[in-house]
Amino acid sequence: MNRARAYASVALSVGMAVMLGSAVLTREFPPFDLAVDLAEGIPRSGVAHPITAVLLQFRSYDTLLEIAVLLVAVVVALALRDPTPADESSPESVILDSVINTPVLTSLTMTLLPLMTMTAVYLLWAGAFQPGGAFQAGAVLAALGVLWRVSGRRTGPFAANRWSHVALLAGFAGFLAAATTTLLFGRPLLAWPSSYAGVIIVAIETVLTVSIGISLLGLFASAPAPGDERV
Amino acid sequence: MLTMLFDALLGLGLVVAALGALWSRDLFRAVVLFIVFGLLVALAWIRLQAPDVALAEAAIGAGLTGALLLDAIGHLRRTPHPEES
Repeated sequence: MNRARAYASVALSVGMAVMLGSAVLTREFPPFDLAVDLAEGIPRSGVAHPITAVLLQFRSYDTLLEIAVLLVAVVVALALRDPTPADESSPESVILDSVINTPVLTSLTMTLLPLMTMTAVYLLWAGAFQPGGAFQAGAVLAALGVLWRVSGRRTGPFAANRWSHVALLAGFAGFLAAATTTLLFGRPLLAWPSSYAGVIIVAIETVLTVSIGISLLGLFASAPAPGDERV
Repeated sequence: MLTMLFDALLGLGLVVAALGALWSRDLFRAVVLFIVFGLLVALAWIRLQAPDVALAEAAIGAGLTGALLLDAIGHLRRTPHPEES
């Protein structure tokens, strides 16, 4: 039985390898060069960095759907959260015993707060002409939020309240609004006029940064709170 | 020559970190090796001239996922195992 299974798995892997290899070898190359097309399209994209141009101009539909997927994931994670969290009922800062509550972490978080905020803003701005952009800036914001929560704070800029829900939605809602506004002017979906494209892209990325940061933090924070072991 | 050596070491480190993360019996060690693996992957993306992917990998792959996994270990340690205790 085990031997038959081993033979079957070897045969399957060899067959898979042969199929993959033949697919790569017999692949027909497309009659156009995407890199050349992209380089020609950069001037009318509104941004100078090719990756950002692809993400928010040439393939912005994909990015829009990605944001929607992220939003759905966070909404599901928040829905699965403990329905009676301690942090929303009490307005004052709740410091749980089991949270890592050391002076080092607390002061480090306070030192890192302005530095990481500045890094996020820089990454967002740099995305227009060099590596960076909304996802990276949002990840830095989320990391800051994780530090903030781990050091025991439940209030302040990363508290779970109505505003954080608005911020969660703002990215997708803003993107969708910008995408559909073009329809009003008789243009295709997401087809911004090149003269405004730069401004629109930076505006969308700014809102997206906040939303992505809150979303990633939401995925972290919707795990059961430390000290709550009812699993 | 030096870059070849660096790339070879990076590739070797990737495989070692991945195997260590998969086969480690200690969960904490496995998670730390996973974070190391994520950071090495970020370096590999930089060597492949994809700094955008490297930034995302370092922040999300190594940073946030690592934090989530460490959090999960904390919960596992505080929860008594029914089959062990």
